[in-house]
Amino acid sequence: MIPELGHFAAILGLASAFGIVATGFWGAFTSQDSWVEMSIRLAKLQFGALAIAFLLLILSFLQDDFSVLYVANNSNTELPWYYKVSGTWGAHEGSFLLWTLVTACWTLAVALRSKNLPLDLHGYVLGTLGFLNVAFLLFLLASSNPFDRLVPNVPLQGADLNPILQDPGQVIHPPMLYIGYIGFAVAFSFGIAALCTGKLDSAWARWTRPWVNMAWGFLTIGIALGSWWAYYELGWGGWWFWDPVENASFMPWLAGIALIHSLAATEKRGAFKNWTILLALLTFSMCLVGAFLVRSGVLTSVHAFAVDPQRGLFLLGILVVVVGSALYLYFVRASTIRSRIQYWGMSRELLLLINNALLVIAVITIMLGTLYPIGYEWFNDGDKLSVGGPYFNRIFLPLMLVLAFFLALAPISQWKNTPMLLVKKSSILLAGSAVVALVLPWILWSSLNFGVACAVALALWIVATHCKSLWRQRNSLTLGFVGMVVAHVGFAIAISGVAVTSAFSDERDARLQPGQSLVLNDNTYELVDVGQTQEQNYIADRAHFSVNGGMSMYPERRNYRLRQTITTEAAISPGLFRDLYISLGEPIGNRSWGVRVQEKPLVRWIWFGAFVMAIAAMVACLDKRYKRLARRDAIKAATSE
Amino acid sequence: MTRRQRKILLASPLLGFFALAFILTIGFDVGRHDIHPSSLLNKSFPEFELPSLHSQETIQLSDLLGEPRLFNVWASWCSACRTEHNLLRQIAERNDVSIVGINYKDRRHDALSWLFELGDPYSLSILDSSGDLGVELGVYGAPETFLMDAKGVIRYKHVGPLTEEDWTNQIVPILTSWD
Amino acid sequence: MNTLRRRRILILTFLFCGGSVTVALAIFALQQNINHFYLPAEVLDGTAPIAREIRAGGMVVQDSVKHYEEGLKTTFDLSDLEGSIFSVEYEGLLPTLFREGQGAIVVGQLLPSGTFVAHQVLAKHDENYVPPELRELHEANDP
Repeated sequence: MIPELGHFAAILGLASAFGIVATGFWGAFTSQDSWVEMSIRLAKLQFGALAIAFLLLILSFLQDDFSVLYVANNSNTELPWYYKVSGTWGAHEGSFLLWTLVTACWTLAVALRSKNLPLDLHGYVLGTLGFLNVAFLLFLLASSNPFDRLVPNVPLQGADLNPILQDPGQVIHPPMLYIGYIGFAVAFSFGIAALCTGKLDSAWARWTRPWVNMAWGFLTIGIALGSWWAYYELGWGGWWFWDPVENASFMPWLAGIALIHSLAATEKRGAFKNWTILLALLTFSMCLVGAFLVRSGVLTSVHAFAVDPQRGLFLLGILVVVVGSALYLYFVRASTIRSRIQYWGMSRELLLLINNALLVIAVITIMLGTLYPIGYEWFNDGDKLSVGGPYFNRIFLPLMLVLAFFLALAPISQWKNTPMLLVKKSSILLAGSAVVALVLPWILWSSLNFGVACAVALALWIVATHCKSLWRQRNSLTLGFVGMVVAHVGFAIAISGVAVTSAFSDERDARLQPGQSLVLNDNTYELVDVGQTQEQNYIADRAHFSVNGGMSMYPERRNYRLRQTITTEAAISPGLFRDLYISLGEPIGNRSWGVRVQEKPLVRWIWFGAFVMAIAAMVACLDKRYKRLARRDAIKAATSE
Repeated sequence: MTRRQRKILLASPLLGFFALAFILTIGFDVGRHDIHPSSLLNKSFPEFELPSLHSQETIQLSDLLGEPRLFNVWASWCSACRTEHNLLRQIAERNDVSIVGINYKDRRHDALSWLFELGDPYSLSILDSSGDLGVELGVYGAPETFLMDAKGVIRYKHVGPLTEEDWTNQIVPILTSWD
Repeated sequence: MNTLRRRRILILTFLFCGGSVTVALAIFALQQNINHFYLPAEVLDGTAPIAREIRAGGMVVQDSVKHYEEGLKTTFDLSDLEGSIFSVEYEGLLPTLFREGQGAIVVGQLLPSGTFVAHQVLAKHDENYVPPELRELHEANDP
């Protein structure tokens, strides 16, 4: 009964999504308040229905209802209750239900938080969001229904959740990612609404900015969690693989940064209007492309769900309809929106233009590397190839350094024109940072590396210029400004982490017997012994390492009984400046074990920096300006009608 | 900028997207294979080499070829296996087809006492205590039943307890078509 | 107005050229960093180039995985289940999902002697998922 109720709730969600499309667009088109009011009510209904559907699926997991095919495939009576809950979004069907729930959640947020929006804009935004969820829900119900029954022959035991997903990091990673992805659907809808109404002014940018910041913040957290999870759970110390699916989440992330910055220029100077709209459309389009890549099986990836072709075709259809019609609308309507930059000197407008240019190039190069294998295979009759990580590193990292250079000038730049004196002054800071950057790595890691020196110098410079301007403006701080400064400092932290970890990480593989030890840099790792432990759903070989005769570390090699899957559980000794990382390989012959020991300096700074950026982006939304001006904009919009 | 140039510029994102959609479509076409593992129907029974439940001998797939076999995945912890057990015993008594038991993720002692208590319909019993063969077969859980022809190809798969109807309506017609 | 215009053209040209150069560089780097994929038969018949970074894959042959007495060196054979088998030499830890009888992809170089020296071994991620490169093998294996 519970799965049927869930199925019914999902259908109710679909019906209300249809309602939102009809009432939202009709209300906006005819400027009738009551219709838009109706779509707000339907947004509440949609959210309620899908929340109930999702809760009922969780309930089926908790009750071990293996008559539901999805539960039978992804759960097991032996699973701890919290992984039964997270198993709900552990595979394709359930995670897509979550995806539609998140869409409903954003729709509800837009419905409730945008009382000050002009009527027509509000209607178009809600209608567009409703339209997206109609597409998603049709896909869910037609080809990926998580409530499908496996009757009459009910298995008594399920097949278990994939063990690598039995992890706290993996529990929150997908929801965060989805909240981020679909947050950009709000920006997308605002873009569509602007094209429909033909009104694109500072007020529009002010309404859109907080949504973009929130979405980008969540996406940042999602990606960072995924990277952190890969680092400790996959067991081999990698934190970024340039895997096609990672790239698919990375491209909208970069486009999102570009969007945040071009929105700033649109709000403050009325510049880049056309471009901002296009970015708003493209950022979400990239999220959809990412979803297609993950769920269609087009690309080889560790993230890929097991797929069937029907689903891929359906998703491709959604992609073409949504993105194709949005870009067609852009083609038809964008020429009515005009803007002109009038200040081409050393201005903040110019810096933002450079920022956007660099990010777009970065996105293009990543897309090139990700999609190249597909095109190649087709043109060369099935000849397969893959693009190695070095390609991405070689192109992407220099681009980020150039970006960092211009980023450091951000706080001293001014709209229209920046006095050259300020630029000259800050170059003194650059010289100072460069000296420190050359000396510091040499003292800490006794080696020199050009790339690291550049990255650290630029990072220090960014911190210096931003702190200086923060101090200058200490009496008139706004949250928007503070958010900008903190986010940029977060970026500096992250690039130092990336540069230092990539250049100065050290690793050694060895074959050890209990009693033997291995030396890496200044540390001695002794394998004391290897024992066996048993937990609720796995048995494990557990090695005891003694580092420098003091600290103990226990890497494990787990064997999950039900799926007969072996995973490595690395032992990590975290540190602000250096992580020690031991993975236990397989037993080799006579009581000896394969062992990998790694030392990773500043690896934590990457995630810390990302986290700082995400928080800063969210804090910036709280700027009082949005609230104060929103009321004024609303009055203005009302009187102009 | 002339109007025309402007139009082209504004159309470029749309054209770019069509190019992308084209690449995705061909990628989809190239990679378009059904990799759903759930159905081993009309495919070879996976190779295995596992101990017998009753003795220390090992049983291989090649030992079992040459005649149709009904493989039944069961375990002593599986209560639904009891419900189909009577049917299996009847089939064995009538000598309709040779039934091979795959004792799935179970302990030998428990399995033997279960068979002692309820009777043993199996002409051969394979001990799959690690569940490896079960994984290869794509077993959701016990009980499951597979019908293999003399050449070793799986012709029928059933999830859950076997019933009289399944036997007479599904399996018997296949068996008679072979005779 | 005139200087403004000139400046605007200058900056846009500069950005455009910079962008094009980067993309051109990217395409160049792409050419250098692509790894072709070969099946066992192609490794044996000389289709696969010698002493260049390539990827190859197949099913790990039963009982072929051998560890050296000392150190972490391992050898194993990869087969297409149709008679073509080549051997792989690898020094380092094998991935956790690497198992005999399962598919694996190796990255490295082919020696003139016919041995494949791998610096990376990839195994499939879970039992539901077969790398697309090896799909044909799986299908060929089914009657």
